[in-house]
Amino acid sequence: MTDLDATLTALADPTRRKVVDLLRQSPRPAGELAASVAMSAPAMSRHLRVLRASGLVEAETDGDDARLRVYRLRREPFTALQAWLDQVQAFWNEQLGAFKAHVDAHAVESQAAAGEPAEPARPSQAAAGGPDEPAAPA
Amino acid sequence: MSTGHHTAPDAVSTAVEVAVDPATAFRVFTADMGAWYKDTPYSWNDPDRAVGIRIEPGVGGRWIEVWDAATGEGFTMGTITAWEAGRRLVMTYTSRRIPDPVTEIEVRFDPVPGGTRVTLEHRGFRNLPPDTAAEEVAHTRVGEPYLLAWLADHLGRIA
Repeated sequence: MTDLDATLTALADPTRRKVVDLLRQSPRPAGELAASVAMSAPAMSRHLRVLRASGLVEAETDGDDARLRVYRLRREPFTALQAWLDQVQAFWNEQLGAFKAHVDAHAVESQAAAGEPAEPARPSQAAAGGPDEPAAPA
Repeated sequence: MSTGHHTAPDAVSTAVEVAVDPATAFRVFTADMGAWYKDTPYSWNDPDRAVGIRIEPGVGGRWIEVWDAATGEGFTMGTITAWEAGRRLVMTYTSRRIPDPVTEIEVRFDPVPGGTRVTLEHRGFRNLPPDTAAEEVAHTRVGEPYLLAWLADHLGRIA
């Protein structure tokens, strides 16, 4: 997922996560963001460029002075249907990973018991059922 | 499969390979669902009441989030529309927020050397009324705080 990749890349950096956190509270000028994380204006400018490229933030105005340019979060990347579908996909990845772990753990008895109905089980048993780490989300 | 923001995608798909034959994989997938279905924050319509999950075999059977262990009844997550043992399973999907079965899940069991490739496709998202889609997005909390938490978790896991 191109968009998700860009989002993940943008948020892989702690400074940029901090910027996103600050912008969740309110839009802020670049200069204020730089001051809030004790960073030089050019360094903050580079981070904001990555965040803009990912579509996570946008500049409200294009004033001459970059430090006065007000940044805010874009809602689209967060609310897009694609984001939800990415989550749906991650959910099914995890469930199929759990299915595979279950089959791997019970392969021998499953083959032996082929044809016999299996008993229903509870989710707590699945949770305690051993090596069912989820597959990595796409 | 890079998808832009301009066209809403219709489906998600994922697959695993398991070291058993398709008939066994199908049987374990359906009959043992209560044993393998993982308990996650997104697994249940009502996490407080869910005690299990089960599939009634055959076309017309139900896919049920079990709320009452004694009776096996609870919330009907969908109805089986195709049941081809060892090959293919299709069931409608509903949730408390998407009561109309406009999306569906198809699971295919294809033989591969050494086992079975199990492919799950959840499709029909284009059929969601825009309001429902927006509401679902809101309710699954893919809003800022939630997505950030999810991303942080994801980043922590792959780090």
